[in-house]
Amino acid sequence: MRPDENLGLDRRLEQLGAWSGIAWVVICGGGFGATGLLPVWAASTKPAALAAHLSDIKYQILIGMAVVLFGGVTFLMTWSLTMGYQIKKYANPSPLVFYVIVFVGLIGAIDGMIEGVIASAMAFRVDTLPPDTTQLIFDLIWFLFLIPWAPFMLCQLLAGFAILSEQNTGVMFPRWLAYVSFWAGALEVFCTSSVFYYHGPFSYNGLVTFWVPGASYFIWVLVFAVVQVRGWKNVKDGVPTSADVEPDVAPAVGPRVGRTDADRVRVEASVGI
Amino acid sequence: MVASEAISRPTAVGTAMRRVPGEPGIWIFVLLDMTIFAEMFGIFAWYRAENSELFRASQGAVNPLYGLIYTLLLLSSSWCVVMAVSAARKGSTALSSEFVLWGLGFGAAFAVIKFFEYAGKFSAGITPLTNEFFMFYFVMTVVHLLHASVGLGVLLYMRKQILALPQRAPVDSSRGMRMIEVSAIYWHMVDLLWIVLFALFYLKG
Repeated sequence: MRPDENLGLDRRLEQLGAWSGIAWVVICGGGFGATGLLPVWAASTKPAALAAHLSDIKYQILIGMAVVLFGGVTFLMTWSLTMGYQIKKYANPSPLVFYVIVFVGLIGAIDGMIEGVIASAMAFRVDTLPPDTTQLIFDLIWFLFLIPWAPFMLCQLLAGFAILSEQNTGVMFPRWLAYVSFWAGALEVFCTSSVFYYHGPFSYNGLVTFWVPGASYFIWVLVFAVVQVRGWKNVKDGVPTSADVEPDVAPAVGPRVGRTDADRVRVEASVGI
Repeated sequence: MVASEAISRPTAVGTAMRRVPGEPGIWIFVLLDMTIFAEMFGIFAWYRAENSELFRASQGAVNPLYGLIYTLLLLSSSWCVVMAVSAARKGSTALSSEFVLWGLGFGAAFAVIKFFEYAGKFSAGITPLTNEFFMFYFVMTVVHLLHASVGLGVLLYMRKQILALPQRAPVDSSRGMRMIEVSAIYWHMVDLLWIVLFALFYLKG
């Protein structure tokens, strides 16, 4: 394969990877919505009432989770891989940042996969399971969604720091995106309280514990992916150029009159993983 | 276009537009973070309206003196940070660094006293599971304490940026100066959020 063909494929995959973030939000969000599990019933619900409700929406759960497992989980992996690759290529060449982002994406996909499988198994057996067991499985679905938050926060913080670093060329990732990442990362902390309360705003169906971190994560992925897709217009022929890009922050010394060739060389040199 | 021109572009009447302090991203962060706190304040108000007797009685177990001390510490800390930014703009890096250290000291005192207050509550058998008032009290003040703890790290970073500035030369729009302003804005947000928490949990009424 000629080098330019390889570059073309690489660029196309970058574009597709960025779009897969948007696809993840739509498919995973849509799949979850289709299950009928939202809004989540409170942890304080009587087991028999919960089991009867889940039995009523059994096929919704099975179909919704099939959608989540089919598209959502896969696209989280492809998007995370692309994000890590682009962070390394355009923001900061640190291999550690790249690996953390990729591994957290993988963890997120596996977590989502386990969640989808458990929810499917719960719906599959809901008519024959004791209600207490059904409720335990129901708890497990939401705990899997909420409480393993720490790696995701780490990923969001590292992405933010990489974007704020001086090596960031600014062609793909604007600096404000770092602050959005910090904000979304900080909100993950709220998930912790879900194991202490059975009802109210800090329980696993609460506004503060479920909707705020859950929605902010989806918003973060969506905003990030849209920036990646839109940032593509600043990247020409596989080499980032920033002639049209306004720097957000003035340099430490002297005026900045646009990217230099040295900047481009630095970006190109950082592409290898 | 030169970045500083983009930020403080001359207007038709010949006066320069004021640049955004720090950088736009930190204001996005502040607005988003304060929106989440505002949501929690709203939920608290809702629960309080539903169960005003319980909330009033529970508030009796909160010592307002702690609240006053925290408020004075954080306001003093914020004042030091304001002075630090002002000194840094004038190129007085040594003075600026000293102000940040004072701000850091007041902030650290806030965090340390908070632990004593929590310990007192726990030893009195009051926990986040005691009732709805203390659920809000602990969750919201702990989340604020986490913000303040991050803020202490941010102030250390701010001092590092100050020490890296050129000495005795006024600076306004360099990257270092902007990051100093970003740090200060974050710390002021921590202070502002505390003022609301103080009114919600410590002031009787």
